[in-house]
Amino acid sequence: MRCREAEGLLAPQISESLDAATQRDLALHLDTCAACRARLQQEYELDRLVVAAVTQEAPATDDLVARIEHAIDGSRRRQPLFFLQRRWPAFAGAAVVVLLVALAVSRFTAANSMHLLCQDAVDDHRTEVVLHEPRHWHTNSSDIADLVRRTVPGTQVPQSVAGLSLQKARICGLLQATALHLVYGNGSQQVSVFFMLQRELPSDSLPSQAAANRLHEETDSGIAVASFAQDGMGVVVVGGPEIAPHVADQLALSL
Amino acid sequence: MQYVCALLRTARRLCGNRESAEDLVQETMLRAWKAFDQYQEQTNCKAWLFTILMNLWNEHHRKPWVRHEAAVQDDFEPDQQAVASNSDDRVFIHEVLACIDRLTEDQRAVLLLSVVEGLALREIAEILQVPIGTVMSRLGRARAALREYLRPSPGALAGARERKLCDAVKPKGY
Repeated sequence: MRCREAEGLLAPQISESLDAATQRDLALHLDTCAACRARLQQEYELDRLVVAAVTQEAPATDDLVARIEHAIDGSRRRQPLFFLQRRWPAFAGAAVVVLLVALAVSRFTAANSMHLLCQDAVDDHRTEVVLHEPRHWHTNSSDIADLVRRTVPGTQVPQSVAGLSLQKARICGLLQATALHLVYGNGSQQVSVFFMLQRELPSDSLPSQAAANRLHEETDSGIAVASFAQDGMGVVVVGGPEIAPHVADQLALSL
Repeated sequence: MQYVCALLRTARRLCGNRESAEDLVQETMLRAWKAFDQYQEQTNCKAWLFTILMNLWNEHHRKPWVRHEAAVQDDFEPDQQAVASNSDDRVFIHEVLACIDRLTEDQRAVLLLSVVEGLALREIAEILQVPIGTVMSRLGRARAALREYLRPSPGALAGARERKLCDAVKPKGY
């Protein structure tokens, strides 16, 4: 074996995966070639550097493990009954039929991307705010201010609106767009405000004036959605039907 | 939960920020729990978890919100838990990590899975669903690029930190 052939085989992970004959050839070459032995040493040193850097920088996992356990507990409580698990093919087939029908109906009822966006916002509000699905939130006021400054620069996000104060913030995804998710609340109710960072709300659904436009309401489940556009940036407000429209109206006037 | 740390350090390097990495690992563990009946006993559980993680990453990482989120949070403070004992070591670790982050996503994934996590090239090929030859070439290119990025500038080879770099990235003439 020549140095040129050996060179591509010296990485430890590669040399360990060689067949026995090639490993023997490589070993024979290393016995007689000081330069390749030095190069092999460098490969090990490079590995040591990478491992040291990545493992020493690794963050603590205690909080994350607690979050995961909490999420698994929540998921376990939502597991279907045993007899449903046994009959899953039938239920899956029925679900597909229902989904197809729902899809067809939704097309006829002029469901658009704005509607889907609002649905996604409602889902996020329900799971992350109402049901407290564990997520990483910024709750410290200076952290929230920093996140707001970096994501919606130039926007004066109020600390309180409609009697609710700003409680926490995180970056999230709605459909395939990035959103800044703020939660305003008091002791009895909470409202989610989503600032769409990357994609404007669909133009066909946006009001031309600043007043909030209620696009979608789910009064049965006690959740209402209102949205408006401000300087080309879409804002979606989700919360109880008695408060969410007021929050949207006030935000539309104050931003 | 013994692999959470390994998943998190890899996810951290893939996502570029802690929040997204934690979300990715949480989703990985949740999906693994739900699909545990699909896990084949006596196979490598760590490799199975990394398969889920990489699948999730591939599902989501081209979505603009993930990239945007990473860009938004790039300037987050480094972890308080970093354990390097002195500032020189911390700077040195930061430099090595910065070089790793400069690799392409494909190269970075192969480097992390093989060098840091110790997975076999065959397992990595299955995780990434590419031929083993592709894994080997990505690994070779990743190591070459890393050596190039880490090579200290001429005339700056006085300190212990530079000697560490120099030991690992001497030019081909040795």
